[in-house]
Amino acid sequence: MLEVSDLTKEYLRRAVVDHVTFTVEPGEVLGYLGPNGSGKSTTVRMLTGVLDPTSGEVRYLGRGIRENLLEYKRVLGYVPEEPFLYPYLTGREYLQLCGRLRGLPEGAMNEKIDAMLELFKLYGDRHSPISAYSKGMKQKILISAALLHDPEVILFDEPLSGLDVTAAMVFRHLVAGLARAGKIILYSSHVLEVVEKVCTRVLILRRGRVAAHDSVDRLRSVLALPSLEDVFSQLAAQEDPEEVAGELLAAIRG
Amino acid sequence: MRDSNRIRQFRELSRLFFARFTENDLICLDGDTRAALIGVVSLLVAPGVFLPFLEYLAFSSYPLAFAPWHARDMAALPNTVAHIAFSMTALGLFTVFEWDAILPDRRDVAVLRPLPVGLGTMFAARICALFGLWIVLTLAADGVSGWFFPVAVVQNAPAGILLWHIRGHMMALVVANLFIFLALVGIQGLLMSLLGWRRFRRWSPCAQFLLVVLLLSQFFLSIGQAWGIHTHAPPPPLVAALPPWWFTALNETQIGWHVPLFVNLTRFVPWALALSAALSAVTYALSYRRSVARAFDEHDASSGAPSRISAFLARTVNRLLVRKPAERAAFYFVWQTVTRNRAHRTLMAAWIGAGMALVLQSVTAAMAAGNHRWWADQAGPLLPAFIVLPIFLVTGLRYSFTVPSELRANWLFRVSAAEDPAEYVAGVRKAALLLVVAPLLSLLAPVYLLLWGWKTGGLHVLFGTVSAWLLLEAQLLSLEKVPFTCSYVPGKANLKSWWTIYVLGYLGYVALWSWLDLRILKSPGLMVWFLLGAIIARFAMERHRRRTDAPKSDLVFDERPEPAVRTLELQG
Repeated sequence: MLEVSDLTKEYLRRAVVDHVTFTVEPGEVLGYLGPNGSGKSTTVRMLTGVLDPTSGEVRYLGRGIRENLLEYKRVLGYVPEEPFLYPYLTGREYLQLCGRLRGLPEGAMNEKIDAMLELFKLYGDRHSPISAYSKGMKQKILISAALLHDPEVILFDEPLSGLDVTAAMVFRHLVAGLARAGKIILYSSHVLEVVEKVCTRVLILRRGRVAAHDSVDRLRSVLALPSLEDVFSQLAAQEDPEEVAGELLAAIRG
Repeated sequence: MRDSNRIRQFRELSRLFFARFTENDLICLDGDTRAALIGVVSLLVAPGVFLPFLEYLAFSSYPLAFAPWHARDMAALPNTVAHIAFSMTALGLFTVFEWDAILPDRRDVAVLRPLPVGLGTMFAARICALFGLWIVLTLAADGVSGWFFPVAVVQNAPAGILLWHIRGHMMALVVANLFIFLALVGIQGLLMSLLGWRRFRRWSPCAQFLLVVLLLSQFFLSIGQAWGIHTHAPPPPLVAALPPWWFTALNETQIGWHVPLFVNLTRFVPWALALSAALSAVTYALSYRRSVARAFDEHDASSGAPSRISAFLARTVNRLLVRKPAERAAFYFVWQTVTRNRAHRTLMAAWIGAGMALVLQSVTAAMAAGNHRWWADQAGPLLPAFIVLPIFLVTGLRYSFTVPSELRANWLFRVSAAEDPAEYVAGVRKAALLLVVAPLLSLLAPVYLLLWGWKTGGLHVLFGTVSAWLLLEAQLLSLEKVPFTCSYVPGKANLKSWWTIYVLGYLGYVALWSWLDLRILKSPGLMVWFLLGAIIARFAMERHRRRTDAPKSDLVFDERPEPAVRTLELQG
C-alpha cells in the first residue's frame, strides 16, 4: 500500500501542496485531478522521490520511502508530465538506458524492449533518433520506459498527452490490466472521461488542498451530478467556464 | 499600411533572431540568455582591457619610455599582430559556435512560416540580426583595445599622430573582423550548397572542427611569425598566407609605414574582403532558401540499423569491458552523448582543435628554424604531439562532462535505482578511456609507426598512451556525478585567477613528459620502470578514490556554487 500523509510542499513560504493525505491499495487506480497549478505534478514528483516534501510523509508497505529510497525506486514506474528525453538517442537506445539503469539482464531486457516497441508500433522507428519522433511516439517511449521493469507502484502524470485515439484506448485497457495484476497506480490527468473509466477513486485538488476524495460514483451521487466533469467543475473550477469563454470572445472581437 | 506592417515584422523578427544567438547550448547553459550575452561580451572585453593595460605599463617603462614614438611603434609590431589575431580568432570562434543559429532551423520554419510573414522580410531580418551579432562581438572585442592599445604604444606622440594611430588600428580591426565573419558565413553557405541539406547536417561538426583548428592555428602561427620579421623584404609565403598579417599590414600602412612587407600584404585586403562578401552574399541567400524549403523534408539523422561492425563492437565491449547493467548504462550514455550531441561535439572539436593548432605551430616553428626533416627527428616537434593532444583531449572531455545535456531529462537517473553509484562512475571512466585511447591509437599510432619504425614508434606510442591514461585517471579522481546530468555553475574553474597556474602547469607537464619520453626512446629499458611507476600511480589513485568515495551513497545532480559569503560556522 502507498500511504501519503499530510504531504506539504512550500515555495517561498507558499504551500503549493497543502497537507494532502491519501492511500492507494494494490489493484487500485487513484485518479489525481485538479486544475492547472493545483499541485498535481508537484505531488507526483514528491512521490517519485525527486522532490523533498517540506513536511509530511510518503510510506510504501508501511515504511517511509526516504528510509530506503533505492528499494522504493526499484519498484517504481513513472511517466512524467513532459516528455523530457535525450533527443540524440534512438528510441531503442533510450529504453536500453532505462533497463540498464534498473539493472535488468541484457538479453531479457532487449527482448522486452523489442516486444514493447512492436506493440506500440514503434519497431520500424527503433533506430531513429528521438528528435525525429512525434509527441505521441515520445509518449509511447515514456510509457514503455516506465513499465519495462514490471513495477509495483506506477505514477502516470498526463500519460495520454499526444497519443492517438487507438493508442489511448489501448492504454486505458493496459491500466485496467495493470490494476488487475495488483499494481498500485496513481493516475494524474485532465482527461476526465478516461479517469472516470479507469479509476476506482478520485482525489480532486484545489489550490494545493484536497477538495474531494472518494469513489466517482459516490461523488456523483452526493453532489447529484451526472458526470465526473460536472463534479470537477463544481469542486475545482475556480471560474465559470461559460463566463470566461464569453469574456474571451469579447476580447477577441476587441 | 502594408509597408509599416512589414517594418514592424522586420523589427520583431530581427530582435527574435538576435536573441536566438544567445540560445546556444555552448554559450547559454542555464537558459538565462541575457546573462549569457553579458558573459560573452565580458569574455571578449576582458583581454581588450587587460592586454593594453600591460602594454601601457611596458611602454611607460625603461627602455621604451625614452624611445621616440615611431621607434615604439615599430617595437609594438608583435603586439599589433597579437591584437588583430586575437580579435579575428575570438570573433571567428564565436561565429563557429553559432553555426546552427546562422541559418533558419526547423523551429523557425514551424513557428514563422504559418504566419503572414514574407520570406523576404524573414531573410532581411536574419541578415540584420547577423550584422547585429557582428557589431556586438566587434564592439566587445575591440571597443576598448581599439583606442587603448594605440594610446599605450604612442602615448608620447603629438595628439594628431595619436588620433591617426587610433583611426588606423580601429579600421584594421573592423575590416579584419568583417572579413572573418563574412568568410565563415560564406563557408557555411558554400558547404550547404555543395553538400545539400542532409549531408551538410551530417558533416557540420567536422567542418566546425576544421574551422576551429584553422582559426587557432592562424592565431598561434601569426603571433609566432611576428618576431624577427624583415619589414624591408617581401613577405615570406607563410606570413602571406595568414589573414591576421594582411590586416596588420593595413594597420601599419594606414599609420604611414609604407615598407615592402606591409605594402605587399595590404594588397590582399580588398580582394579578401570582396571575395568573402561575394561568397557570403551568394551562398547564404541560396542556402537560406534551401533551409526553409527542406526543414521538414528529412529527418535529422539517418535511421538505419547499426552496422554489423558496430553491433560486433558493442557485443565485445559488453562482454569484456562493461559487464554490470549500471556500468553499461553510464558507458553508453557518455559515449552516445559525446559522439552525437551537437554541443558536446563542438566543444570537443574546440579543445582538440586548440591542441592541433599548438602541434602545427611547433611544426612550422621547426621548419622556420631550418629543420627540414622534422618528421624524422625524434627530439623534434612530433615528440610532444602525443603528449599535447592527449592533454587537450582529456581536459576537453572532462570539461564536457560538466556541461549538461537536456538537463530536465536527468529525471531518469534520479528515479532509477542504483545499487552502487560507483558502478556508474566505473562506466563513465571506461567510456572516457575508450574515447581518449581509441582516437590516439587509431590516428596517431600509425603515423609514428610509419615515420619512426615499429620499435621507436611503438615505444613512443606506448609511452603516450599510458601517460594519457594516467592523466585521465587523475582528472576523473573527484568524479561523483553522471556526466551531462548535473546543473552547470559557470566559472567553477576560476580561470580569471588561475590561468597563469594552468599555463605553467601545462608547460611544466609537457616539458617533463617530453624529457621522460626522450630518455625512454634513447634507453628503452627505462620503459619497464615507467610502466611499473604507472601501475603504482594507478593503484594509488584507485585507493584514494575508494577511501574518499566510501561515505558517499548517492550521486550528485545539483552543482552547488561557492557561497558568496563564507561563515565561520560558529555555533553558540
